[in-house]
Amino acid sequence: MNPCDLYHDRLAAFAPEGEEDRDLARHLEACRACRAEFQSYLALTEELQELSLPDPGDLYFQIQAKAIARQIAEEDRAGRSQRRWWAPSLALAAAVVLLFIGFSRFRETPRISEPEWREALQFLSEEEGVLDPEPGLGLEDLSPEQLERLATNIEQRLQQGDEGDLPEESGDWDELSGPELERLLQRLNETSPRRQHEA
Amino acid sequence: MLAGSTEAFNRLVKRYQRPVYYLALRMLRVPEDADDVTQKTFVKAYRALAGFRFESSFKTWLCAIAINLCRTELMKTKRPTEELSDRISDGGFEERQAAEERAYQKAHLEAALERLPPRQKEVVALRIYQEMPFKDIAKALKSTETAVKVNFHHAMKSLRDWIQKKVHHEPL
Ligand SMILES: [Zn+2]
Repeated sequence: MNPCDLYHDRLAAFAPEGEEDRDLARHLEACRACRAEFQSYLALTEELQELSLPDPGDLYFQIQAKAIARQIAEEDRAGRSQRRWWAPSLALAAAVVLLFIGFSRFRETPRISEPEWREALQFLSEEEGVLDPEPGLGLEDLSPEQLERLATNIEQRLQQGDEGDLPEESGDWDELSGPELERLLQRLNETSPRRQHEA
Repeated sequence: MLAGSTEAFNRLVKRYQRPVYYLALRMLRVPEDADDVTQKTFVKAYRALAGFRFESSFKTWLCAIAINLCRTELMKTKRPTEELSDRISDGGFEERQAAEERAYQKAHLEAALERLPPRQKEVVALRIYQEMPFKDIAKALKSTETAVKVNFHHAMKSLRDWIQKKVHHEPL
């Protein structure tokens, strides 16, 4: 039996970082044929990732979110969950805590887009006052560049005042109030080494 | 109290509606159906939130609900099989001129993706497009890590073989 047969079925699912398969990793180092096979799966993965689906746009998702909110409000009016209102809120609190934790992991993936981390941060900051399981967990996890960009973004937002027109890419910040932004900026200044240096 | 929790839930909707929508669209390929499944997923999640056990991440849990709804949807109707690849080859005129070959390759791959058995397609959608670890995929699909890895392997092998065959021999 060819020794490679042992490994062939594991090649497609192999992830060099993250998930462990040391045995396979060692074999890949030694075996050119399996390495080539593995490369072909990596290439295919990239091709698959490039298959884009049509983006219906922000407005579409806003309308969709409203439709969902409406249905949920109807659920509540119907009183289905009234008897156990505390159960969803406890679960929700825990889900938010999970988000905090999830975010630091999610930040490490290289494909994270600007709006994504901004959205995640918005979430972090919005929940901060209410559910702060470990103060600063999210912000401290950010790279200096990300902190810098975020702080600049907030400063612009504050300069323009609450009612001012926002630059298009800062749309995610729309829902934060002035004091909330100020609080976040303060936290950022405490967190960012570069900013501390400047001050 | 309840109002506060719906508000917080609406933020979760905003945070996750895109991944859920794209997962559904990847599975169903019809935007209207994907929209429907996305809305149902969140309404169902809201109802079931009390039962969320934190054995998986919130996203994994949402994906599990979405996948189940997609399965129901797929059983209900016969899906179109060429829509996405049509869209790609009929796509923007300029794009076609600039990168016709690339678009063609993509169309082949889209078509190949559609040929996968449902379970394999689910695993590919969660792994490639949601970037989920296999252990989370196993949770979302109520399966084992080994089983989903085997599914993934079969899917990738088939895709690669079909693509190679298509590129070298047959027209789409
Ligand atoms: Zn080998």
